[in-house]
Amino acid sequence: MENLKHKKDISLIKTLMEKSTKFSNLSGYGVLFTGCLALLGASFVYFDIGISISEKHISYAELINQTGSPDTITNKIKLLVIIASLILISSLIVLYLTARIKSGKHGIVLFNSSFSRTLKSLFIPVFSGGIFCLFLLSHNMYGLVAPATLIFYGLGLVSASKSSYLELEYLGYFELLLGITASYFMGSGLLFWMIGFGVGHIVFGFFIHFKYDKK
Amino acid sequence: MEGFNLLNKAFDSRVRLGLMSILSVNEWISYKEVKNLLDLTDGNLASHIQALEKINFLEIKKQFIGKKPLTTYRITEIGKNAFKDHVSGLEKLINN
Repeated sequence: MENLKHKKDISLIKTLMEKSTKFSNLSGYGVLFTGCLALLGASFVYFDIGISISEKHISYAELINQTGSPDTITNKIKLLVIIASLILISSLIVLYLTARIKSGKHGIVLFNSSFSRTLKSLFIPVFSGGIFCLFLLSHNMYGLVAPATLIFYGLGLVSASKSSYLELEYLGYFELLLGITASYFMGSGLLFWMIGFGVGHIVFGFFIHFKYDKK
Repeated sequence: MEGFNLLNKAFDSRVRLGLMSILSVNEWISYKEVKNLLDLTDGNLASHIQALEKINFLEIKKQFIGKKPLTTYRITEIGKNAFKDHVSGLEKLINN
C-alpha cells in the first residue's frame, strides 16, 4: 500500500514538473493545417496560377533570374508578399485556435510562462529574419528570401524546442538544412520552401497528433 | 527501511508536494499559474503556501504590475534540498 502511494507521488511530481515547464498546447492538426496552407500558397506563386495582380505575370524562376521587365517583377513581388502574409496570418490564427481548444481539453492554461518562453525563443530569430528578408527584397536579392526564411525559422524552432516539444529541435534542423541547401540552389528556393514549410509541417503535424494529442 | 529517513513530513500533503514540484523547476511563478496547474480553489492553496513559507521552503514576492497586484513564489535553497531528499527517499522506497 505504502509503495503504491510513493509511486503515485513520484508520478505526480513528474507530471507537474513537465506540465509547468513545457508548452504542450501545440495541436497536431493545427500544424498539419499550416503545412497545407503553405503548400497551397506556394503553389500559387510557383505555378503562377489563378490569381495575379495584373495581366503581366512571370514565373518564380524568371523572378530569381530577373529576366522579366521591372514592371512584372514588382507585380510578382507584391503577389509574393501578399501571399506570404496571408499564409503567416492565417497560420497563426489556426495555431492559436487549435491550441486554445487543446488547452481547454487538457486543462492546461494557454497563456502560462512556458507559452511566453516558447513564443519569445521562436520569434526572436523569426522576427529578425523577417526584417532581414524585407531588406533582401528591397535590395533585389529575391532568390535568397526563401532560403533565409527557412534558416531563420529553423533557428527559431531549435531554440523553441527547449521550452516545448523536444522534437521541434529536429524539425528545426530539417528546416536549417533545407535553407542552407536552398541557398546553394538559389533558383529552386521556392521548391525547398514548399518542402520545409509544407511537407515538413504536414509530417510533423501527424507526428504530434499521434504521439501526444491522441491519448 | 532505507529511504524513510529521507522523507519529509511537510510533503505528506499532495498539494504541498505538487506545489514544490512546480517551484523546483521554475523561477518566480505566479499564484494564478500555480492554482491552475494544481487545479485548486483559493482558500485551499493559500494555507499550504503559508505553511511552506513558515518553514522557509519558499519565498513570496508581492508587487504591482500597473495597478494590479501580482504575487509570485520561488523555492528557497532549504526547500530545494528538502525536496531533493524527499524525492530520492521516495525513489529508494520504490526500488526496494
